Amino acid sequence: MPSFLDIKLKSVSKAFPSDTGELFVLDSIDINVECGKMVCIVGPSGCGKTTILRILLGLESRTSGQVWIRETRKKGLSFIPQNPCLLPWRTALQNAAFGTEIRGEMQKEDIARISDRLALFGLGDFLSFLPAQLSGGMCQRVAIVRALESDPSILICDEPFSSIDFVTRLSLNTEFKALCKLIGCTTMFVTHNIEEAIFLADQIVVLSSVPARVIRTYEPRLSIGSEDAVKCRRAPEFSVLFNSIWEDLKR
Amino acid sequence: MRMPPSKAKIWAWRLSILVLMLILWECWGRYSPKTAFFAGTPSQIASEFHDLLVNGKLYWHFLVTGGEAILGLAMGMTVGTALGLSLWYSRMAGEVLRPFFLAVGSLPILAIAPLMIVWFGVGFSMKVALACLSTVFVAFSQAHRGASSVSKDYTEMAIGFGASGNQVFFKVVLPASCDWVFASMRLNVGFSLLGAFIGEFISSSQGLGHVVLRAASLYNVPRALAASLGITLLACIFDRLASYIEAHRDRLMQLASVPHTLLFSK
Repeated sequence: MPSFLDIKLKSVSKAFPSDTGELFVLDSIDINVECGKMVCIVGPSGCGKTTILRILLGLESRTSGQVWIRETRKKGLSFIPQNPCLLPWRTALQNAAFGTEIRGEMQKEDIARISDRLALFGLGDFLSFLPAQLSGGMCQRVAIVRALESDPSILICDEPFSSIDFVTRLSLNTEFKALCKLIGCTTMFVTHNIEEAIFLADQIVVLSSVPARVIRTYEPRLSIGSEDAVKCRRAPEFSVLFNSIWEDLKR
Repeated sequence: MRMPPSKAKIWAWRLSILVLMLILWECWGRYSPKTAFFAGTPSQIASEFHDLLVNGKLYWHFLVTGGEAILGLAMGMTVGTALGLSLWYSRMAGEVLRPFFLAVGSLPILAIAPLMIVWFGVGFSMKVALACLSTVFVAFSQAHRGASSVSKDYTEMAIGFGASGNQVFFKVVLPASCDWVFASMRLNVGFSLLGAFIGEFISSSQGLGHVVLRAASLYNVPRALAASLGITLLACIFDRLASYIEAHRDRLMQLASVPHTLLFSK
């Protein structure tokens, strides 16, 4: 196994039982994620993108193939679900601290660090607010802080910005990418938004419709605004890549 | 848009209806001695209530019945809730044991009451056991349903963060089931009083049930109704207590599942 890989999926297939026998959702998926890189998976709705993440998280079994996560990185695995999944009885701070709490004893320094991270995401005045008192965007930001606060070595994201308005999404994309780079985590990011994938990813994996197969992989290199979700759209490679992925998805 | 009625207005209506009913009852009782004998009159009930307070140790009977009910409620809720929630660990055990609990729980409490005398005697513990038995199955059933209906999103989120089975239970399932537990507590407030009351009806030398039974056997309807007022008062106190606990549920859920360093941080 190459030493620079953190995640490797080799010929992974998944079938769900159906009325007519078995319905294959994933068909021989091969994805390699290098250490510290972000891989975005794009594909049509319902093609099995989330199933790949569920298999990685151990929430779903695979029918065949191999899944490998580097042993030393497994303990620092964290994830951001599609729905923020904040526990309604916990405040923003308590929700953001959930990952640290699960990993061991909570120290005062941890609380200070998490509060700072929340403040960085514009939630400094909302630490003691319950999820019901926060907007959808705020809840999603708490979920992002919850996943990133313990400096994970591997981050799994399932369309974390899908329920956020366009403007907030752009600013969150920028903040998220900067924070991931700062932490240096290896990220697997599922999205159905091509523009988001082009801005965030070091590598884009395009999947076909069910049964999902890897159609093509891209390695976006943006000459302008690679650190800014708005400016990156001015890069000439952006529209070329967008059209190419769009054509792949239309096939 | 229709505005909700003010609290003062609601209370004014409630009091008016109560006063009107009491006046009609009083007038009817004075006009018809037969009615006064079988249903008493508000003035007679008030007089008996005063007499019970001054000479009849009403407060003592009140404390005895209240003690039996609250002890039974606490025991029934603890045992039933703990059993119901713990079945979350094994869906198989839950499915296997549920019909047994439902079968035993569907037995009328009055049918089991004579057995309680055999097992616990005729004293305080028998009434507590009856109050406990009246509440334990509701608590079990609600807690089991609560634990089974915790959103998969929450449990999978916790597993995604590497939580162990116990961590998922104590940090997610237990607090997420609290709404069901509080709902069962509300139902059980009445059931625990009923259990204690039935116990006192079967055999007792103290308690509000004993006062009601003794007064009724002497055809002293106003005294029986005055003692019943004490039970209503007890039910109201229990209900307020349940409302108070329910109003602070978020804090209680945090206390149950969040580490103290995080809970009391500014």
